[in-house]
Amino acid sequence: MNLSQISQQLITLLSGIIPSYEKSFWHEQTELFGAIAEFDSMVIVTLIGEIEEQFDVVLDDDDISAENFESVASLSQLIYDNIDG
Amino acid sequence: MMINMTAKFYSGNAGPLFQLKRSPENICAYIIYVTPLFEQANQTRHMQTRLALNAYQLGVESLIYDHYGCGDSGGELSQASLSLWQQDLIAQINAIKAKMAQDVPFNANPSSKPKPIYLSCLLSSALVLNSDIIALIDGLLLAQPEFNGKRFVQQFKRLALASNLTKTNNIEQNSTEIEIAGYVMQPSLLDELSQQTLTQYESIDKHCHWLEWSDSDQLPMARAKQQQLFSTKSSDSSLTVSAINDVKFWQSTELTLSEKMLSFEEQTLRNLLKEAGSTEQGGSC
Repeated sequence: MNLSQISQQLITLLSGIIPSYEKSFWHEQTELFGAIAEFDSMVIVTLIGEIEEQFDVVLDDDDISAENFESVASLSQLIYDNIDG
Repeated sequence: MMINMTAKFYSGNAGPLFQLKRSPENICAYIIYVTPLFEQANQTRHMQTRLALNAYQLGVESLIYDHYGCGDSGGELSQASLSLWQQDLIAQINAIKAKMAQDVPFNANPSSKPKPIYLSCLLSSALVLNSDIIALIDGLLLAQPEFNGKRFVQQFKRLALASNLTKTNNIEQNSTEIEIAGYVMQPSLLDELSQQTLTQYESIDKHCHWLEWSDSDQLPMARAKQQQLFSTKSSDSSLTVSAINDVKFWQSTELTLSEKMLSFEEQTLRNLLKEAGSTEQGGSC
C-alpha cells in the first residue's frame, strides 16, 4: 500500500467520523489537529482505533502527538511507517 | 402511537439504577439494552431509544438503564466495579423472571411458558457480560461487540493522552482513584475490564446474533479474530453473523442513525419471536 492509497483510505475514515464537511474538503493537505473544531480527543482516539483495525497496525501511545495528527499527510506517513515497520 | 413508558429507579445492589421501561399491552418477550461504557453510553443512547421503540411495536418490553455510578443512576463511578454492574444486570433479569412468574404462574397453566428474555449488547456493553448472565437469558443480540477488555481499556487511556497532546503526564492518579477524561474511578475497575476476554466463556449455547459493520467482504483482523473465537464457543446452530455497510453512528461527531441496524435488529427480533412463538400454542403471544 502506497502513501496515496493510505491517504484515500484515511480520508474515507475521516469523512465517516466527521461527516459535516463536503467531500472536496478532504485531501492530502487537509489540516487536522488544531484546524478542525470537531477534531477533538474523542475523534483522535476513534481514529486511532479505526486505523489500527483497518490498516492492521499497532500505534504506540507515543505516536499520539500534535505533529502526527497535524494533517492527512502527516497521519498517512505515520501509518505508512508503521505498515513498513 | 402512544408509548407506555415509565422512568423509575430500580433498587440495585449498591443503590438506585435509573431505568426506562417501555411496556406494550401484550408482551411477547423482554429485552434489556445493556448500556455501553463511559463515553459510548452518550454516543449510543439515541440508537438504543430507537431500537427500544421498534421492539415496542413488536410487543417486546424493553429496559434501558444506567449502570451504577453512571448517567442518572445513583452513586459515583469511583464506587463502581464491573462485578457490581454484572450483579445489577443479573438482578434485573431475575426481576423480570419474578414478575413473569407472578403475572402468569406457570404451574397454574401448564400450557403457558415463560416469555423469552433477550439482551442487546452494543460495543463495550459486551464487556459487562459473563457466563452467569448468559445462562439466565434466551438470546443475545450483539452489535459490533467489544469482548477484548485490554484493547478497550487501552483506547480509554488513550483518551487522556489525546485530550492533552502537549503534556506528558495526563492521567491524573492519586493513591486510590484515577481520572481519565473526566471519569474518576478506581484503578481496579479498569483492571477488571481489561481482564475481560472471550476466553472466559466455556461455551455459549444461546441464540446469538452478531452484527458487524463492514464496508468490504473481509473484516479487519482484530474484529475477525473476536468473531472467530466467539464462534468456537457457540454451538453450530446458535450463532448468526451478519454485516452491514452503514454509518458507524457511535463514532460520528453528528447525531446519526443507522437505519440498516434498525432494520436488521427489527428483523432479528421478529425471527426470534417467531421461533419462540412456534413452540407455543397458536404461535403468538
